Amino acid sequence: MEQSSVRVVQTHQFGTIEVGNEHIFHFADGIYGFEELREFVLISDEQSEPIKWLVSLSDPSIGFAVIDVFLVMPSYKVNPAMLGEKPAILSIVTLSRKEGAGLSANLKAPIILDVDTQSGFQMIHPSEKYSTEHIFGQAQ
Amino acid sequence: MLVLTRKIGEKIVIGNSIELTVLSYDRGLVRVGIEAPKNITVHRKEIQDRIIELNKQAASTEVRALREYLAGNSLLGTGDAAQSDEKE
Repeated sequence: MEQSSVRVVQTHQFGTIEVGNEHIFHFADGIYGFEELREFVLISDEQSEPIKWLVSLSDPSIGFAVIDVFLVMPSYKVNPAMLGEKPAILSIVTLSRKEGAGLSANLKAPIILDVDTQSGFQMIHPSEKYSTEHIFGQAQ
Repeated sequence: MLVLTRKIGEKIVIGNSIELTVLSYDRGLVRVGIEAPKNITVHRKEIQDRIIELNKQAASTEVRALREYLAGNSLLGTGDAAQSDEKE
């Protein structure tokens, strides 16, 4: 019933967007450092594909650049018990401001979404082999 | 903060499902064994601090800066690079 309702959100970087309830992900515990932010929408931006944007609905000035973790590391693994029926595993991307530096992905703390239940959380991967700052997409 | 003194091999129980065991002490390094249910996450504090710091940096990533970066740098081939990293 509520499925079809649309929220109009004034975002910091994408202007005014309309978000259908079916595109909202609920983070019961927020994200590390942003525990109070519970609702996010995943925005596709043609000019930054394959990177997408996870933008907070409670504070639309907060938005994370995210990428499908398998695009960064095809062999990436997460304990299936942590995943829902229709999972998406995203890695937060940081663009270094240093000259000549590129993008890094946080493989240590991926964002796990469940498309079925529209829920998400940030996990800390127990494996020591995944870096918080995995460099990828370097200038060629 | 509660402070407890323990000998090697002795345990501390937190709640009714978490047990810490002091395994060894050698030149300033303490090894602690942790038994906890699967739904309790356990990690070094510095890692959580680093993740919070990185999240705060990432939260203000500018869409325009990232678009400009991507316009000048292809992400193609990323996967291969990542795979060879992992073979090391």
